[in-house]
Amino acid sequence: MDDDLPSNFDVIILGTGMPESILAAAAARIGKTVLHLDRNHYYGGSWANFNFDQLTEWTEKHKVIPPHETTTSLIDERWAECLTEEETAVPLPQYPKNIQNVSCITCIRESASAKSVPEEKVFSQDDLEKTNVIPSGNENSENTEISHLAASSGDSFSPTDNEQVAEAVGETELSGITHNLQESESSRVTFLGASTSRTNDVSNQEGNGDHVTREHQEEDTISPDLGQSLEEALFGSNTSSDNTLIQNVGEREDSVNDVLEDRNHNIRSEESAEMCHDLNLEPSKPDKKEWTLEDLHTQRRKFNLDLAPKLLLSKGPLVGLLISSNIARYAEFKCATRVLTYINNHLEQVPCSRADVFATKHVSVVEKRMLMKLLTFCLQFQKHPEEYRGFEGRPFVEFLKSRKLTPSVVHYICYAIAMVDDSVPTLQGLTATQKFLESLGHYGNSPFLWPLYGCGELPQCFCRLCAVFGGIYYLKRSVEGVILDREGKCVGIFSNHKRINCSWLVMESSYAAAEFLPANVPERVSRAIFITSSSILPAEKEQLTLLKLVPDGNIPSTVTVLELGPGAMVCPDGLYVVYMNCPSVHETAKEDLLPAAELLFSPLNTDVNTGCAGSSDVMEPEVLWCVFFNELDTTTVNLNEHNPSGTIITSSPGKSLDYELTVKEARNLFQKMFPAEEFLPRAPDPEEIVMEGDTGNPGEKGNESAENLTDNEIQHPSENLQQPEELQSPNDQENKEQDQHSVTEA
Amino acid sequence: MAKTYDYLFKLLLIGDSGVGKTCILFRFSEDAFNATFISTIGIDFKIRTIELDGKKIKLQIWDTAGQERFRTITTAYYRGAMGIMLVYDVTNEKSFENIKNWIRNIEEHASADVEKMVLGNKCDVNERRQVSKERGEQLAIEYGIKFMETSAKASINVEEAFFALARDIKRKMEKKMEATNPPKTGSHQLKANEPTKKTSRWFCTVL
Repeated sequence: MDDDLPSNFDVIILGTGMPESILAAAAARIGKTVLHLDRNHYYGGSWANFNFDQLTEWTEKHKVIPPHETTTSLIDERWAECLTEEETAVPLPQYPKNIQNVSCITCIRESASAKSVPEEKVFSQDDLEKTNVIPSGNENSENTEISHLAASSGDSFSPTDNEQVAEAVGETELSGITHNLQESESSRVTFLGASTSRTNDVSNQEGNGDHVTREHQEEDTISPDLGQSLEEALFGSNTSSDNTLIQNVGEREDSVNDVLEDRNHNIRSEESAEMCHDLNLEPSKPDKKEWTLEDLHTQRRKFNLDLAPKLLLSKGPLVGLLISSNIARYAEFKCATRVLTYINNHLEQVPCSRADVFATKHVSVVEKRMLMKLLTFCLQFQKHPEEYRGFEGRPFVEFLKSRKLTPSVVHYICYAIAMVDDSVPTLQGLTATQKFLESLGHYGNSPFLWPLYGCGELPQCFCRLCAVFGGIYYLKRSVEGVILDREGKCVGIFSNHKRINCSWLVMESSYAAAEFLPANVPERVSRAIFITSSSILPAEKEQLTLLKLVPDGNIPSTVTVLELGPGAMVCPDGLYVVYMNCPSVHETAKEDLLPAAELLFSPLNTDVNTGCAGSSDVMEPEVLWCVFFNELDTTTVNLNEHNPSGTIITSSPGKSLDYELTVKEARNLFQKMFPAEEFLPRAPDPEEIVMEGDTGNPGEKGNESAENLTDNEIQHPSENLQQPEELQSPNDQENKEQDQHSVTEA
Repeated sequence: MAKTYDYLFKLLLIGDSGVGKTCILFRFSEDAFNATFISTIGIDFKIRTIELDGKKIKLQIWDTAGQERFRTITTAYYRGAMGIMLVYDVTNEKSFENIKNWIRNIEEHASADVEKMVLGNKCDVNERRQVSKERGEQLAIEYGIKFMETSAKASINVEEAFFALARDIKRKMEKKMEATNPPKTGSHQLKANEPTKKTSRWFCTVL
């Protein structure tokens, strides 16, 4: 292949996942020459992010069992020519086996043609207007409606699609689960029976009310409630809801003395909740849409589906690194809006902030006081060792129980806030609780941030920085072998039959030869991606949800569930994406995660004939399409024990929820490679770069940096906390609400 | 809050290596030209604020960071872009042919309603010209986008091109604003608590 790649680099990196990309950026940043390769045609490897078609393609590719590595061709003549007498070559695997048991289930039909579906309700303009009147005090509602129409007019979709609930109809493909088939049939019968006995009753309307409110979610931040002018809303704290806006301000000012304000807030949010309740009583017809595979394909670009979804802790190491390195400018984030837990056979929102604690209806006043007291204590538990004396080595649960907390409060703290299991000792539980609480309230009502367009953006941000500092990128490039010198130190690679020398070779674990790795990688992660028709717990606004399911009965190990909607830029309007992962227990991810899916969703529709419209009053979301897979978890072993010197092996995404381990890993490996160098120092802003010998109008540039300083001074009036920022860079993905982001009024 | 601009537009430069994207960027942002730029090391984006119909528009123009070389532009590069300058070199036939590939790339990754414009750069170098102006115009008509021949070196049409693109974006945006109030999705950009003091400037050596 006639590329004009240089043949010497300081660092060659194989794989564009998160740790590799951080290392690439860090190396380029200190002036090292970097060649960054990936065997795939996309960025991210096991951390990648796909549109619907790309994910389907990935699924198909990984269903095929990879062939055995052929070791015969390893020392072919071309290799021998490139080697000196003292050098040896070690072939690298060409067919990685880090992804296993890929199983995809399609629960909808191929296309809308040849349907046996009962008459489909069309959401008429009348209905739209009717629903629009309701959110009183909201002067923007009409305008928004227009925007809906305008924005979607160029689309192949009718305006009403946005509000329509999808319908799961169709057929499972090849490997459909047979036991589920029966279940789904029987439950569908009961449910059909139920639906005939109802007309437009409450359950129908609830669904509809949800649409109404979802339709208005966009202008919530400009709610007149807050007495905010449009400009203020544009420049003010940029949170996804007015509730969090208030709460944010409060919490930032002082994390203790804002109870009063929160009470106000609480009242306000209850009012709005009631308002929404009224909405639900507005008689209206259920609207729905039968989604087909064809629809998902047509809207493929609106999907950004992650292989390794994670959240960032607002005060966690990745957020810190993104800010300190100035890489944060390449991405935008949204705060997770709620943490759910499954308790007493239903989903409940966990009160985690002070505002939540006061707002929750699931906790009595006495319990609220106890919970507040405990949370305040956890925030600075180190200062009060007497409070947990005697419990240091004992389980956290026991400590919580000793505080005379009710079972549900213990459940909230242990499983949803600390997110630990029963065996975890008290100190560890307290630390976990503290970590959660410390990250709370910086950007919104939860400690977690989600990167818009998905987590797959994050490694790319680091790659961009690497490229800005001269790193060379080459995707879809295979690497056949590693060259070792007489001492067994790595001196280069063979790639496309070309020898490229390097001082350091970094490779993601699936690129490494078996002899470089620990003999046994015992752990795996089970993952699943679901495209669903509605939220697992519908609310008046679109939510970004985190849920931990505790091992129980059918659920073999703690399942982390993330639910994201169109506002997170991961799917089209009207759909949700649910990610699940857990440490693997059974052989396949499907066995591990199907029980959790059955708990949260309607039974997976596996029969095209019974699965048809009419299921609108099913409260549980229906799954349109899903995929399960297992992934080797190399985070649990020491990868850098058996590898040749001059090489570094990085781990897979693993099962952790946040990026703490990843950043720690990258930092440690960087220090191993370049002990004396700084890890990702702040990259200069463009206006700080002055070309040597450039005498061109300094006036203009002077203005530019002066302007930025002013901006900053105004936006950060001697605050200690990181503030949510008005986003400045535009951000539109043919999405009407996004288009408006670019507008920053003076 | 006192902002020194009314609108902020994110623009991208796209095209084969060596067509002069960075030179165009520097001509526009600094009114400078240096023929010896070898590649795009260290250049992330440049900013220039222009005025259109009494509105101050801050243009944030992103360079490819050399990732066009092996077609490895990140999808993240395209996020939120409102305008794209597709650049070819009139003295390089191949770079002109590749415009179609770049358009395909944009269609796959950028927002569907992104404003596009084609620039035939190096139009001052007539003696080595391989692509006639007519072919450039023809291509632009085919895709229904605007076209200009530019020279970053001779400072021909660079201003005009960016102003034209900015004007198109502004028009499209204001049309949308008339139809709706700007709603928000509530996303965050992460920033440091306190701006790092700009004590030193970064010097980038031009080779």
